[in-house]
Amino acid sequence: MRLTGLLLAALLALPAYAGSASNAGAKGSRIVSADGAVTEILFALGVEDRLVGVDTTSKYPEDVNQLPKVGYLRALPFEGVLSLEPDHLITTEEAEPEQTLQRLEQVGVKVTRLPVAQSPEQTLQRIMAIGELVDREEAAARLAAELQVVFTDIDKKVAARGSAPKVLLLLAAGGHGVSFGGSHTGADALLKAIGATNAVSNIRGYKPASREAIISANPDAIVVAESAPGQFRIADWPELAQLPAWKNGHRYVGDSMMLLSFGPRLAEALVILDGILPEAPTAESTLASRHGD
Amino acid sequence: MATDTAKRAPASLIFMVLAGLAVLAALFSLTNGAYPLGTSDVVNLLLEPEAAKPAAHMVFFDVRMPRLVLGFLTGAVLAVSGTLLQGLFRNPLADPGLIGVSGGAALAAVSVIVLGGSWLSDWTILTGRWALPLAAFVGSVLTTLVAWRVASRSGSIAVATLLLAGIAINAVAGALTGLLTFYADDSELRSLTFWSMGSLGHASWEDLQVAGPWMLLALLLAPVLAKPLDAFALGESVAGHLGFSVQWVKRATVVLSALGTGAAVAVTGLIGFVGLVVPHLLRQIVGAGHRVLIPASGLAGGVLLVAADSLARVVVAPAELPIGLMMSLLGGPFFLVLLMRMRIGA
Amino acid sequence: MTVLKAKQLGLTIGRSRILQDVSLTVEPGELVALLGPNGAGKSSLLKTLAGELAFGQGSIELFGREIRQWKGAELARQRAVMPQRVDVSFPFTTREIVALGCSGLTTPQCNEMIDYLLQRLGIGELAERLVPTLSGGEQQRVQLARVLAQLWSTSGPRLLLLDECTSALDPAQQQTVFSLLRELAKEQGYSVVAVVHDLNVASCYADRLVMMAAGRIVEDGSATTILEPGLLDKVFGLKARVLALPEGYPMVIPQA
Repeated sequence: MRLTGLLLAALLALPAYAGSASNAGAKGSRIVSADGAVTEILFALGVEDRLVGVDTTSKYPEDVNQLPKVGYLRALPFEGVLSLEPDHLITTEEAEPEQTLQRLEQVGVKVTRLPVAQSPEQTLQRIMAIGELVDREEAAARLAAELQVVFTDIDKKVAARGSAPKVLLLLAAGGHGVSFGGSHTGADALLKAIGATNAVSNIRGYKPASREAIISANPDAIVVAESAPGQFRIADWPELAQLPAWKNGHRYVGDSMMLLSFGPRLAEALVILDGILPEAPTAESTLASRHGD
Repeated sequence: MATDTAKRAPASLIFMVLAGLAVLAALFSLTNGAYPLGTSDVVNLLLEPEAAKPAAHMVFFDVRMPRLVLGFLTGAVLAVSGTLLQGLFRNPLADPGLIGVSGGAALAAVSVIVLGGSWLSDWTILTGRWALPLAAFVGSVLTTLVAWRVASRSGSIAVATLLLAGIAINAVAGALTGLLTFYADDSELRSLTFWSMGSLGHASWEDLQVAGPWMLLALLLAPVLAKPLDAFALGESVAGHLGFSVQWVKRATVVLSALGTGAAVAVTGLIGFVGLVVPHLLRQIVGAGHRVLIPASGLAGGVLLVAADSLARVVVAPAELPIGLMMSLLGGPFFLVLLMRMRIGA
Repeated sequence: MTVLKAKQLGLTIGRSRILQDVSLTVEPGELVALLGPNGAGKSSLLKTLAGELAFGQGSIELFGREIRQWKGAELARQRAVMPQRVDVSFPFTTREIVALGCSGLTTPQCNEMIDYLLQRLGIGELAERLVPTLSGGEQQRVQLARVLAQLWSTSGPRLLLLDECTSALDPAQQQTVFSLLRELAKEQGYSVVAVVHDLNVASCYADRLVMMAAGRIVEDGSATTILEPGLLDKVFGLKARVLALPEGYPMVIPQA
């Protein structure tokens, strides 16, 4: 646990470190990033000074808020992006509309659409790919190696645990209600990465959570991903608060971009989530539920 | 006594003012946007197109120009359809949404967004890039047809039933849309939200080639209905006694507004308020006679949408507000003020 | 040529029989008043004659041609209809409404005619007013002007079908309207079929009175034959004296 803490500290310090290391050979192509995780990686690789604009999903780190926002990555405006005079637009396969991207290419903007990352491996691949795109292969390799250490550590723990705890992931966005993170979501992928099973795998996509379903899910641990700090108030969800997992501290409430975007903070997310999983999941939950009767 | 006399500017003056506004809106729209391409740049671009940067060239000729034309046509067609349907239903609250046009278009569009990869994959493969607009167009015309069938009995149409049928069909289409929304994943959800807020941001000459003819057809034929719709203001039977073919008028009105609005909605998404507010407002200024009201509404609707779209791309630059959102944002409060002033005046 | 010839009309709506065996003939220049208690079928007969209600039995000939053979636009030049009630749904001016009747006229001709008609009906100063802001009686005269305008420029036989066209008017205005109608009938050969409630108005202005009850025509004839205490009692349940006036028509005086 102490080792992980150290690693975490190192990771958090990483952007600053990488930034100072890379300023040397920076040849300034102007970049627009239209994806939160891509933006985080660009910052982590120390090329934030080349960023001239980001989309609305880019909220981390803090400095990103000083950059012009070109809107949502599914509705990219051609003129808006072009007005920032970028040489390069880096985004994901989720970007739309097709026409804007084609037109940008036609007027000489390089457009890169990265695959969507939904596993630790894909996160590393994405970091390497971006490193190559912005001439920061070394920094990317270093970052990937750091993350790899954490991922390997997590994998070991998953193997040692033997059983897969049942985890409920809730998404709190927009101030009203919360949604279950069902199958075929980033939430599901995240739970897979920490060797947990999804407590609501029978639900597909993000669906509004009902109070009854929360009780019947009876998970071993609970994760709440907030789109903004303070969006989730446990006082509004008494049925969640009375679940054994919540009462016993097997819970985490945190930033949804860190948890679900599969960017450089994935290691941080995995370490935190691994930390809240019960040691002997099945035994404890049976005990707890019997206790509850 | 004199206060009750209708105060109206002569039609020629109204048309001159509207034409002037149209020119101003067009100029504003062509010289404003996130990309730095102002009046002097545009003049240079027009004088020496070869010397311009390819980016500037594309912004002007392939983005702002089609956007201006599509915006004007869409605004005009929505306003004119609103005028026609308000005349037909003898109700200032009628708009193209009422006969199921937008409900049907929305259902079809959301179906393509959500089911395009599964159940409707044949359709998307068949129609490619036009899968969504085509579906929206077909959807709007089909729902109107259903409303029409419900309301027709032995060859004649009960206007009140058509209205009720439209409302019921909208409710069903809305519910089905909601059902699809429920099954949509996160990304589909965002796509359909954006579609339902309307946008001119992706206008292209291809869009205009496909949707333009229908909109033009509706706009050019609408004035034919001016005199019959004047008569309809006295009721269907009086219109019949005055010698108008009542069934023909109803059919032509519904067909023109469904085709025109359907085509507009297909390429721009849902844009509300134009069809409702513009005819209502213009009626206060030019009077209720459709001979002047129809073309004036068309011009005013076009001007309004072009102006709103220009604002929409300037206020949060480099991002853009959806035009449907912008319209309701501007139109809603404006309409409320209008209503309040009318009540005080009355 | 006979302007209107209805033979053995029968009209059933749902299960109720509205008109039974109704026959009516109207010649050029005739002003016919339709009388009868509420629910007698006067308005239904008028609507049937106007082609608004599809009749089950019988036949209607207008100007010598079967009613179904007429094209709407053609017929509109020879026959105009004024319903009991017309709501104007939008802020049209009086002039715009009356102008709906103009066809085949230039704008100045049309305006001249409108001004003349409004003048004759005593609403000359209302030409530029918005119709929805006018009183009931004013609106009724605007509609009447529209109906008259429709046939104004037609030559030859013309038919007016009027359903209680003076119900919102005061006695003086009623007099103005019926004097004009009689003038049109006598001098221009208009045929007029008007549903009338006021027995004395009918007696004073109409050439012929047609008394209806329960969907049938009970009597058809001159004022003297129709306005008869026995018939009035039988049809309306009205206890009245009938006085023969020196002017040559009878007057009905209800008994207190």
